[in-house]
Amino acid sequence: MALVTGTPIGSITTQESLFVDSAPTIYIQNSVTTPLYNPDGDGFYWQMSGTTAHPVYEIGCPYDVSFSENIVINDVLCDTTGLQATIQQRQYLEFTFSIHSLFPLSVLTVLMKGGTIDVDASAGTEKFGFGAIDNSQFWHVYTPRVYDTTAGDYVWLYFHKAQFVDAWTLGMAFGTPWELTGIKLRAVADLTKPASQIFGMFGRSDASVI
Amino acid sequence: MEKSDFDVGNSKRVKVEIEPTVQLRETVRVMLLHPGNVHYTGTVTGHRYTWNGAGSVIEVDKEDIEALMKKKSRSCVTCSGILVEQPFFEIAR
Repeated sequence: MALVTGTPIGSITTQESLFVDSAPTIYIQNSVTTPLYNPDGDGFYWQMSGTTAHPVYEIGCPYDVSFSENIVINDVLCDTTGLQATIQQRQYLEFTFSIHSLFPLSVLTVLMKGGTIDVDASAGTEKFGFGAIDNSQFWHVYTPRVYDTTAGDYVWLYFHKAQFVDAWTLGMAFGTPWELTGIKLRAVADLTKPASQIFGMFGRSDASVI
Repeated sequence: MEKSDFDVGNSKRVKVEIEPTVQLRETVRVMLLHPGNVHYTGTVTGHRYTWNGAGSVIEVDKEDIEALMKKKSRSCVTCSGILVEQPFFEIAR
């Protein structure tokens, strides 16, 4: 809204009164696969296509979802004039969330950094072991959120190379559903991608305003 | 001759069942669609099949195929309330 006085002159970009609520859906896929758009027509690498050997996993019923970044910050201090600049380097981006859905175990083993799932289709059992953590396992992460279901407008985040890090907790309180908390999906730089998107990207699809 | 401690009078007769070696006859190549390693005992032949990882293909006796192809994993997608059925196996081309 233009003020009577004090409004800047020239080109002004204002923000929309449009708000996205609730958590996105979280999809992961083994990072040995290539993105569906590799790249798309605009040079961005994103989206997934599940294969038999490397299916896309949908994380069921996440809550307390948040997205943050970690950066190294160092001030440039001069003894003559003091602070002159601040050097910042992005280290990683991180999704933190908890879940209530624990089944099937083929997805849970991924979130708990467990071993390969073993299924006995005759006996109807599935099992995985807790052994050493595979530190060479990385995932693509895709988190779309539709904010207008009628028009099909949505936003999404995509990361090339993420790891499940930190220690989780499986809460088993009386009268409440089991919950796996403290899940952290940390996206690090994929140096095979263009410099402007080594960690990933943020996108929006909304034909009515873009 | 060596002396034996075996006493026929005090011995007990037990029945030992030896599993017959299953010879697969006509076979079909079957691919695993489910992530992980999957074991399945053929309902007709009794043969124990093992797939190591999604996408792996092994030969399965034709007689076991019908029941095998009915195996499906069912997952209830909590948030959307949808029951998703996915087959475990697929006939490999």
